[in-house]
Amino acid sequence: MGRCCRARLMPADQVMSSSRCPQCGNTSERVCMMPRTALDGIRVLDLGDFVSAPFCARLLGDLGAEVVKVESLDGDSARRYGPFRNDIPDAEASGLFLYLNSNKASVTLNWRSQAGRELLEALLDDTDIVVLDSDLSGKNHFTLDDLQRMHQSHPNLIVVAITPFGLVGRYSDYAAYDINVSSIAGATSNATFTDREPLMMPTLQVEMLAGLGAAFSTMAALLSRARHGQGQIIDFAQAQLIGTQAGGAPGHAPRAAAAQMRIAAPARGLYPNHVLPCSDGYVYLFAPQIQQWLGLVAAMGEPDWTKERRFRNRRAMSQEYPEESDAHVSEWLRAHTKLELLALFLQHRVPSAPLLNAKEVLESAHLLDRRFFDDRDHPVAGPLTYPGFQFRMSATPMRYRRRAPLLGEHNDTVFGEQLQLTDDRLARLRENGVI
Amino acid sequence: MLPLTGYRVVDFGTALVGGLSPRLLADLGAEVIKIESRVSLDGFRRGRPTIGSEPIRADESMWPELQGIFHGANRGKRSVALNMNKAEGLELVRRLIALSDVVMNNYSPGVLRRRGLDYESLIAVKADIIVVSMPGMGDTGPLRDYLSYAPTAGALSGMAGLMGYDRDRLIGALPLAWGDVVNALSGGMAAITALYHRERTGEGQYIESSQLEASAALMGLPYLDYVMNRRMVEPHGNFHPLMAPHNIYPARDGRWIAIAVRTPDEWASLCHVADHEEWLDDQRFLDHRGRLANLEALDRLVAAWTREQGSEALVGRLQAAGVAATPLLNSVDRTVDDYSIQRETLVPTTHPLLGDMLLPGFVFRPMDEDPVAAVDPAPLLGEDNDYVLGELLGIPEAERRRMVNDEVIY
Repeated sequence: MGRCCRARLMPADQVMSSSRCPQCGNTSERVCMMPRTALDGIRVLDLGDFVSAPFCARLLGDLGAEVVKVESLDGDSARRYGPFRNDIPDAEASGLFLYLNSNKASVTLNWRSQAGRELLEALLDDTDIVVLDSDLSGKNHFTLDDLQRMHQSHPNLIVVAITPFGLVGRYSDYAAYDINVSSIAGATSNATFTDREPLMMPTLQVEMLAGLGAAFSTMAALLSRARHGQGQIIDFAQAQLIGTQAGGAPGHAPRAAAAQMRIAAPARGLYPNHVLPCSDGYVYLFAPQIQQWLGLVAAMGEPDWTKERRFRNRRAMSQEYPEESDAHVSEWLRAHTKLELLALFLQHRVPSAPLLNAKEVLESAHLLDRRFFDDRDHPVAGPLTYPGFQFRMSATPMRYRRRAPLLGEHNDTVFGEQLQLTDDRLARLRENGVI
Repeated sequence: MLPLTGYRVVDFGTALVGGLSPRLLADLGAEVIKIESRVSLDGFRRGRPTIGSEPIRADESMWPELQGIFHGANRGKRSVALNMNKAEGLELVRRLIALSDVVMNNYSPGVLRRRGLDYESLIAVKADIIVVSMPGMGDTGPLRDYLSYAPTAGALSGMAGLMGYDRDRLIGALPLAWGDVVNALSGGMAAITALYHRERTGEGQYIESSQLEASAALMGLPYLDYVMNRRMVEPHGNFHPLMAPHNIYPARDGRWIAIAVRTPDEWASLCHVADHEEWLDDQRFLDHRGRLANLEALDRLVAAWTREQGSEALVGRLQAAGVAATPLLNSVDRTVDDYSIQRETLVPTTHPLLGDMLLPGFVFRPMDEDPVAAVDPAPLLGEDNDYVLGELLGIPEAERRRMVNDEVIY
């Protein structure tokens, strides 16, 4: 059986009965299949911890790669982060871990020990992509020299090193958590209250975006290998990713805070482009083009004030009498709920939107209709609803094939079957705290 | 050789997500041809440009070339000016697609179909074509026709509602047009993945990367909190459950410093650098749990100290002691920061009308590539008409002149 056939690791529905593997030529129904996922047959080693690197590796797993997560003996930090059901910590049931580590197997390995390094080397012999990161505070586990040695001994290997500032250049030796990356690179908002500190992106978004950017880069390297025949090292810097995007205009906070905002009023452009309250929450009001503003006027039922000359000059509304303009619009907004407004904006083609909370997103008729969310079971965490895939591919759809692993769940499979270590050797490695 | 050298991308994109996503492929070596026209300009080319707050003094016909916002999302591309409202213009686009590998667009659902450029029609033109659509809400579903910009998807994914200090001190607006950035990377990654699959099997495909789902796919943490505990995460400032202090503090010179402390060692180092050893003995701050419970008092003490320090010296001393501290840089700061230049976060270019400019750089750069001294600027509208229509499609010059007169090339 050719190495490209991974049928034993795949669910039966992906095994095509009448095809011939384009790589090994195998036609046996039970062991061979066409690449029905984009990364079928690609092996990934996830040496990452917490968010960015694990998310990068999970995206590759969603695309069909076979991902082995290498955890320290006490497990990935995300296992301790939560959220937990009823706030009771359980390393096997942390929401963040489960979310970032489906479609992976897990082994434990202390790869800082000599014996651990040897096992890691053995695993690398069989790997296409290895995803690494720094420790939580940004201190690098690997130097560029280490990675170059790894690349030299495995020229086909793609080495993805995700660090706050990269392995070379200024700041490469800086300690940094995501609030630091966010602040230095432009993802921290200054458009806040003058009496309060600037705000970083919420809910680990800097780390998540870095994971997506690293997966983008990894795919480029894999394509390059397929065309030009060589692996490479990707020195992926989180701050570089964020910094190269820092060109977009920031949005604007609720008008009530406007007087205290750091953004000068003239930067506001055309009315409206800010947050206002409605009956059960807030709405981001936005209608940059004239027909969109007219749509908003129609949604409001064309009240008399919109016919006055001064409320047809949207620049003046924004810059000269914003409070008065808001008072008119707010009267209408406060008489409507978020979901009523959503329907009106849709009907009248206005690109404004209510600020939804998690419950409203999970119950959104639109996302339910598109079957975005996915119910998945887990032996410890039980059934939970997870967000779906990053994008949709017609020929090679992303697939959920495997629940998030228990810590070290696949030690026997990977070290025993794949690396063919004897039971004695495995027992010794366990005793010595290597696995 | 760059990863995508030799591929050709037809780019119907507009504004940020539509412009940026194909540009990411241009950065990796693809030849990206932007299809545009005076009939319907890219939103980033529209309006009267300003320098600072002063409207620019230039002939109106030149305005589309002078909009600052256009250049970052479109540098390194080619541009052909084709009027797709004319059948002949549309036919030229089809002929170009027949010579291309990827088609990218951020049209509303249905637009490609109305023009006969949907995936099903294009496979008759090029059997293994890859079509990437990046609509706001997706091709299907009740909100399919919802008009969407960056704030729209930010609001509907639940992300924007988490930006704020607490329930009553909401900001509700995200920096960086976040949703556009997310979906540009998402659509770009999908295109590369599809190219990889095509290299292995010869098969093209259709891809849909909606801005709403691409954003929602990054929101597992607050969604799972609701799923597990029926609890809604509220805006919580710069709070981090595993770190304290963890905030952005003022310095003497008006700058802000982000400081984050996770381990006992880091906390001790901070206290030493601050010359406030007594904080180590303060009963409120003995461990992480204590510091978290007394966060407001802690933040006040740290801020009172940082407010007396110069930002640069403070960052240097904290970093030397192993504490994660960095300055908050604004877009102007970054143009003079070594990091931006060394890491190609900002890259120099020279535009024929605007002169020297610094533009957003590369997400990553293959290490065996020479560091680039400069990148190509964004194209003038129709700058590559002769290359695309003459060289690629082989239309004789006289014929091209007629097309200009007929406003097919327009």
